[in-house]
Amino acid sequence: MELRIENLSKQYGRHVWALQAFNLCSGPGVLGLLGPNGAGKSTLMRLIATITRPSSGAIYWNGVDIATAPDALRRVLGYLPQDFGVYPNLNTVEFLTYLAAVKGLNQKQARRRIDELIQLVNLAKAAYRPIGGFSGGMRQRVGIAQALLNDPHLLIVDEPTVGLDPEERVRFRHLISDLAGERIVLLSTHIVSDVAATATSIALINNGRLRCHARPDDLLPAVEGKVWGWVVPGDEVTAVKTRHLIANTTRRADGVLLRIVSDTPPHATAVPLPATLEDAYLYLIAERPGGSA
Amino acid sequence: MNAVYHLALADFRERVRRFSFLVIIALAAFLGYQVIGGLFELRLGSYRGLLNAAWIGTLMALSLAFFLSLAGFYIVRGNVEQDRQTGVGQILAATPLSKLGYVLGKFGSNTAVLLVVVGVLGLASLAMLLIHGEDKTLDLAQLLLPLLVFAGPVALLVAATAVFFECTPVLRHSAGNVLFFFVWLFMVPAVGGDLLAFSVVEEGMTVALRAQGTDYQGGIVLGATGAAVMQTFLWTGFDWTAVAVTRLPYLAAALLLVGLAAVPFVRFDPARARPQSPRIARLGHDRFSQLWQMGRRGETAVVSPVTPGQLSPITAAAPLRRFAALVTAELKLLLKGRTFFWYAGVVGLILACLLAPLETTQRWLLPLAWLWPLLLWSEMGVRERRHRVDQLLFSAPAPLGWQLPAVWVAGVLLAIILGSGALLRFLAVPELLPGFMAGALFIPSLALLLGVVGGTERPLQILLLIFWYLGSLNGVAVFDITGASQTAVAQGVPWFYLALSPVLSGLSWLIRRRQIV
Repeated sequence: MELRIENLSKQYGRHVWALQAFNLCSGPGVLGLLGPNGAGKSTLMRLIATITRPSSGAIYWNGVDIATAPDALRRVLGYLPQDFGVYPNLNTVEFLTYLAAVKGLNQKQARRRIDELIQLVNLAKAAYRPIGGFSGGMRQRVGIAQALLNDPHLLIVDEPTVGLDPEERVRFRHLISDLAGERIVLLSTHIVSDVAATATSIALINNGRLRCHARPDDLLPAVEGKVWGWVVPGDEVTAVKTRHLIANTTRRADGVLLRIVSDTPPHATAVPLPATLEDAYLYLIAERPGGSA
Repeated sequence: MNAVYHLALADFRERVRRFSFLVIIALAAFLGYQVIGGLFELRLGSYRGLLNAAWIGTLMALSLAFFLSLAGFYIVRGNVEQDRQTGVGQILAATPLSKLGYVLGKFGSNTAVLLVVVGVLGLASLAMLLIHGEDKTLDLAQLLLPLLVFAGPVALLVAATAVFFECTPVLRHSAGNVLFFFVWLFMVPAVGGDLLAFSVVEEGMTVALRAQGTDYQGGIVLGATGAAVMQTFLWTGFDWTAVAVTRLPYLAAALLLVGLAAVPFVRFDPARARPQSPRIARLGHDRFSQLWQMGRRGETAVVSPVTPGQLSPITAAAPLRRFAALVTAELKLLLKGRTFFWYAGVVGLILACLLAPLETTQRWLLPLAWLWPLLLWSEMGVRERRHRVDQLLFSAPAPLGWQLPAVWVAGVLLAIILGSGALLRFLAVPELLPGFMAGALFIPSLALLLGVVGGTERPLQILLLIFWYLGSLNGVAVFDITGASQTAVAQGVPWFYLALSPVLSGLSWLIRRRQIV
């Protein structure tokens, strides 16, 4: 099972490049796509999900170019778009039954699987209510269920935790981890903690380009010894922010504790802190003249 | 007023940057071209005016007023719904903008769009004068003022009506589109003479004609060019100040209608705008919320009893079963949410088709039975985009090979179900079967094509009503899809529509293919 992306580019209009010369190869496991808003994550997802065609380059699923044979992938694809809708008059069971028919699944088996999926995503009590009255988080769970209908080999989930409350978010992370055994899960998000909790590898994207593709543990060395804690008076925070990459701020009695990612200590009183994946993300994504924070 | 101005401006900008606006401009240009080309003619018996600025301006204005009175509504309708669907409405509702301010802004935008159409026809008037004018004297006042004075108030009134329909809960859905058609149908004969300025033009021109030595006493006709040789007379136009004053009440009526629209407008409050179905209400949000909250607090088990590893295996269905399941699902989707009264109407129409005299069934009842599911057909090809389910459908295997044909088959099945009473009767009269087949295949094919291309329900709703009005109701053979009249049957009109059906379906398929990748 292999997803291979070769030299992939997508251009909108004459001047906007959503993706440029993108290369990636992934086997089973959770591949976290991490990048800021507008980085090109959703475009990449739509390209892989055969929703849109690349301007150049190719995507191969088990060696088959999906532009020429999209159904080779669609048969084993589960896709949860970032922005999707539902038929508001249908209830969850009806909506999933409809999509099972669209996906060409055995209806008898589908009925049983739909019942199980509804339990899996914790919607059993609302299974026969029209989806039109659902909250955003409940709709998102319907979306997750439909993505799992056909037991996908490739599961693409685009910003899946948007709209979920903290408890459901944790449940979803566990679900993704459990699902990732013999399939490829592409998890796109800008929430670093979601990826940190589930991903076996991480692809960092910015401005439509792949910045790096590595295991989470391999990203940390890049920022080891470059994370600092520095307490500054409240009125100096704005000035410090213009000079340094700030990962976090905590207000304290003696001032504001700034978590700074920097190649060099920002101040003589700054103390080194242990690095996290979020620090590494900020460090690698940041636009830096000469490549330093 | 600043907020109203910017609301109207933003809405207008949003519209003019859409492809559909180009279609509107093309439609206006086409109307102008038809008038220039002589397809429409204004005549008083065997007289027509000398083609000068005043005559051309009046001809163009009357044509446009008539066109705007119907098509204008469908052109501008939809901007409030757009705000509702995009969520912009809720943002606006949270601002100090008043309900009246909002509807005034939307009215302003509607009016601006229709005035662009008026402008296009103004250019067409100029072109007609320069190309076909028998007196090419460029009297801009007499050329363009008719458009402003006659078509302008119609544009305002239509713009206001569209806002009123969109802000009134029972009128804002597709049923409003159908209702407006019937309102227009009955209102035009009643008040159209004054509103569309036919009366004032007729009076003025008759006076002018008599002053030139004739004893003409008939009315005026705006229609297709007559074959007879026409005599000409000189028409120099109106005293526009006096005429404009008679049009002011329409401006007042438009403003009043906008004001009225603010009353039922509920500021995008989802709880008030969309009445809950009795079923949802019965289940009750509160009760559900309680159950849900209990679960989350740990009072009952939160952990789901199923894990991903325990999910049942699933396989693909055999092709025939797959298609049957998909057609069933699409048919259910079409029928979902219809009221008891809708189904009662279906049963009533089927029974009426079965029991009425054959001629009545052929002439009136079958066309009526196929008007009944108009709102359902108009969703074909539109629904997936309207509800943003398209990404889910298009990433499924072979969306072109399965889903789109299934939608079409479901539409055809719906036609057969609605027409089943007539079909049983027609089986004994083979010459009526082509009409049945034409209707059953052409209507869903047209619906699918218009839905896939336009992404909105309106084109089918207005087009099928026009087909029904002209073909079935008034017996114009060329529009008689189902062969309601013997003339259409004798001329083989249904065969034409039958042959057209696969072409339309094929076009839908090709266009959807372009949309998918």
